[in-house]
Amino acid sequence: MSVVEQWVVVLIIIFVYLAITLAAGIMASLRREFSVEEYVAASRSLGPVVMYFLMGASIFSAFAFLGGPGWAFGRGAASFYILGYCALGLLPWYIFGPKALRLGKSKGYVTQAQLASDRFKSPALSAIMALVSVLAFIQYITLQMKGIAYVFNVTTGGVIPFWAGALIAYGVVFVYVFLGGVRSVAWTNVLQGIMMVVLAWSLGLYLPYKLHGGPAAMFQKIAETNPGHLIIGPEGAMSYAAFSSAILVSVLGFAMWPHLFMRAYNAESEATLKKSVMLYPTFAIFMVPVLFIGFSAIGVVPEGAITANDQVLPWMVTNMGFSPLVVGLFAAGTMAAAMSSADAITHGAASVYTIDFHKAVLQRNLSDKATVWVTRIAVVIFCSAAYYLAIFGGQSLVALLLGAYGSIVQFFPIVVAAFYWPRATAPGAIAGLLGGVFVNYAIQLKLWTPPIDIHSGIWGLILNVVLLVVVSYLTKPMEEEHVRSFVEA
Amino acid sequence: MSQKRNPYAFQIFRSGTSAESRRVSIIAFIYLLVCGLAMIWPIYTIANRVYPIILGMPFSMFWIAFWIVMTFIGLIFLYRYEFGR
Repeated sequence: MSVVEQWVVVLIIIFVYLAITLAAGIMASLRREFSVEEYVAASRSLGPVVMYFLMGASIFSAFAFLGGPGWAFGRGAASFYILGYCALGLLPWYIFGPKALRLGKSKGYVTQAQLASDRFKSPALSAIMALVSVLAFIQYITLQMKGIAYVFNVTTGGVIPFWAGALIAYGVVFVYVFLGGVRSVAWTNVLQGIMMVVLAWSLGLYLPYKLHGGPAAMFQKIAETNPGHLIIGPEGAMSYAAFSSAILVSVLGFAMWPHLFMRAYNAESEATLKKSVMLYPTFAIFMVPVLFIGFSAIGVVPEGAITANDQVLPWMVTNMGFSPLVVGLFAAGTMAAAMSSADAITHGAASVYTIDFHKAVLQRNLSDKATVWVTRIAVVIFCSAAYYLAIFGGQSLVALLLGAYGSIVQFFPIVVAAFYWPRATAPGAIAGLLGGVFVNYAIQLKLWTPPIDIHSGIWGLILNVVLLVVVSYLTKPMEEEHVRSFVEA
Repeated sequence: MSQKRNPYAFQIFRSGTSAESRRVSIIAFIYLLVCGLAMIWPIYTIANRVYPIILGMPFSMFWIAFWIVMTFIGLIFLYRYEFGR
């Protein structure tokens, strides 16, 4: 088959996928005009299957097909941390989730920072949390756009340039967030989820068998040529300290992402919430074949063929004589993974900015109609910022965003204090958060090099907790009835 | 006892949580803690080797996958206990 036909087929598959997604989003928006109730009620009628894929979409981002295999290829056993992260990441939510849900119901919260700022009676806390979240979200969206643009470009043999791929992604996510109702987002996520799982398992098993005669033979080969690649520790791929602390940070930090935290306010009941937590470890099992893909590339992808580990799977799919149908499905699957995360994050970023920053600090008496418009403008601004960063880089900004990305885990002590420690005060919470974020930035910007190879989030948490406790005890306790209502919720 | 309690003390369970519910929560917490600790240092050091290769995975990877399954099983029991039938 000639090269021309190849990219045409790939492009057709991608556009069919995009058309289905767009159609679902637009249909939901037409429905909304008939009845707001239907649009909203759909979320209360979501069954366990749909909820399951909705939750899964947050793990299966562009990272799943680019970063995951890249880690296994380049960093070997270090990638096992991803499995631990997927399996354990949502566990704290089994404890916190129902509490957040009950408080949300009784006090009318829709965001994470609303809960924190109400508990501590501090709009400043809300503003700081919103700022950190939004910067982290922009980084997250940028990663998704970059992933989509890259895959778009490579699988079409360079026909779709980087800027156009990112722009198309931008456009579709944009429409998604604007028009797509909860029902359509949920159902496209189911389709996207099935596509991703099928892709992960078929490629994850096919590649080791085709290239090495099976996973066992593949690992045997790796063990003989490079035994350190498959273990952790001093002779291994990653130090014990780095590996263990990375898992620990994800367990503490994962549920602190505002868009996941907000799920507690979407769930119909405690049972639904706990069920999605219960089912979550299965996504870690789905990641196993994804890592197989990366390992199968060892000794196959020639030295210098790729410039970054993330490119390993796209390189294999486009250079190993696959039919254009497979290449197209791969491209659509990766885009599905990236877009199903991007919509939730874009929506989360805009809501957090509007409610936790704009309404909390700038304009307290904003009407409902104006609020919707502020949210929409925020969507445009954040998408544009992410697009700019994805295309032009902007190195000075990247450090700022990465620092925020690593700082999300610093919300953990605030949430624990809000739920379990009545003595915590606003100055304590703010001092702790700022201290934790500061340490994270100091390490990120290489102003301070920690003595041991432990995740920067842990160093931040140490100072965070110390400041939270010490400053809280040094300041006047808050009103007893108010703080106890959070502990008793 | 509850009368004398410091209203500002760290408090994990809501007032009025039954003894049985507390016990189940603590058992579940310990079980899941074990699953998590098995994946990190120092317990992970016993599993951190290539051989034997099980289900196509080096032992270092199989061990993590095994504890993921154990986590899942534990959660199923916990959920069924709370919302079963």
